[in-house]
Amino acid sequence: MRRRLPLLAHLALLPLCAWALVQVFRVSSAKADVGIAVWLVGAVLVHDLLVLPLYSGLDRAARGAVRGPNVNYLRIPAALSLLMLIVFWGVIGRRGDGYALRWLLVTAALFTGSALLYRARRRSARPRRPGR
Amino acid sequence: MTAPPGPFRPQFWRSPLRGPWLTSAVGTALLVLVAIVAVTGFLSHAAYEPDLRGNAIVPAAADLPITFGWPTSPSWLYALNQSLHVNVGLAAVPFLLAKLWSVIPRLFAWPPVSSLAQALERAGIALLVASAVFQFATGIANVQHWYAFHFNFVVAHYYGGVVFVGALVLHVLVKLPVIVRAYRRHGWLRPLRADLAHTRPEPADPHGGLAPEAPDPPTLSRRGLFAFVGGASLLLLAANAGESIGGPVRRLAFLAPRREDFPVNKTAAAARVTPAMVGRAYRLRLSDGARVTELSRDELLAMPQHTARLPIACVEGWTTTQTWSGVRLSLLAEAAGVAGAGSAFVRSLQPAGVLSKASLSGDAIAAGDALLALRVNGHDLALDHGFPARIIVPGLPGVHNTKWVASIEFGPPA
Repeated sequence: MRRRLPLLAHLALLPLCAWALVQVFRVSSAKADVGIAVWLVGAVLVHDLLVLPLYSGLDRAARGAVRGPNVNYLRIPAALSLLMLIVFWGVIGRRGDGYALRWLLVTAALFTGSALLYRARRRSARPRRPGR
Repeated sequence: MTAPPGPFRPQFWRSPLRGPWLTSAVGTALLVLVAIVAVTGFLSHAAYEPDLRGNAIVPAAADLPITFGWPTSPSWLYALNQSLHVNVGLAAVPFLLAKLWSVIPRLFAWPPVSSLAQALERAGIALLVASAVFQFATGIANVQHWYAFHFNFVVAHYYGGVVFVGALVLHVLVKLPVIVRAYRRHGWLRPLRADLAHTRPEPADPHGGLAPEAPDPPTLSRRGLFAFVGGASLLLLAANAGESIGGPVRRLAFLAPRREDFPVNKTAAAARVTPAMVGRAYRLRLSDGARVTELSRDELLAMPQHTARLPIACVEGWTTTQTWSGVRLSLLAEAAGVAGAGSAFVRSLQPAGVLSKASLSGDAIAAGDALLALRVNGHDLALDHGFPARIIVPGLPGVHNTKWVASIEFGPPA
């Protein structure tokens, strides 16, 4: 039974997915069909073959520049800032009313917070472990 | 068959944190979040009451036969539903990205297909990842009014949701033994106790291929990774949630698409409603399906007025609560000669558009605070807010509170 469950699950659920795909293409215009197909396939390709390799490459470059765990003080605020930029691109990149400015201010605050944390931790670590 | 060089070889993947436990832990957190997003998504579909005349955006004949009467109490029900859908959806983004990162070596598994069962599983995964990224991308673009796609958002996002839920349930069922094994082996949260100095790679798993064969030294502990992902979630939440809470918090939502206190999604100009259409000649047409009663705005103002503090809750997640006053819908039904009406088909002066019409259920008409609002916060409605008269019903999706009401056709008592 344990081995059959996955097969049964596929037989039950893949047809449900297929039904939904058939319906969405059936009720939409031909032009919309192309759009939906492009977005469905494009979403995976852009994430798996573009976004992920890109941030992995940036991460590798950062780890090359800053050795060891100190890289976190650089890459974490950078990642948070980039994430906000991508998720809110529809307002940051496309609307003039202060969104880009607020994103920059929050980015600056993230890096400042990271720098202060780095300083505080280095200070508290110094008496016990000099030249960490 | 030897794997080609690069990502197809296991040695290529060097993160010391990847492994079945990490994927299970990130996946469990993500599952809780997307379950909330999916349930509220389908509830929102039901809240539009697509079985009533003119309400269906997804054609009824091509829809799942799941509809029910959406309650009008509490009045913030739809506001809560959509706040959860949009904000929990945003909070899930970092977990989705982390989950996809944790399993990326599997994309390059070699050989690509080893058996029929594995080919089926990969097809399911392809549907899952495609629909997941599709749902998040279209949903987020839509709440930001970024119509980068040339298809009907509602239709595509609805069926995309069906594909996503189907593929997700399938994935959880298929992976359940792997998840159970990972938790049995490492405990629910035990790997989070290790600080960086004690962070070790998970033992190599020849079948799963997630734990690295040649790991780099760690630069982040597992709890560090969770703090990073969870922190990213909270940051996205902080950037947006104020538009769903309202009040003074709204100004703190630094990236929310709707930061004004009383937002307007569709202006009169965009809806092509002109001042001439709402001038002295304006008459509200009430009917029982045959007989038409016409009322001027002054005649409406002369009827008994009721005041209620009610939210407008947009499908996009923003909410605003205002004090509305006008004529109870139940009173208008009586005026049309249909006391206790079972339905109301409302048309807007807006000449075109899917949302230029909406049907209300008998329960909605009977709700004590369901109004044809003429005034808001002690002033006449502004043209952009629906002057001369708009519907406001507790607990319904924002767009069913039709603006610039031209006519209401009441159906017989149910």
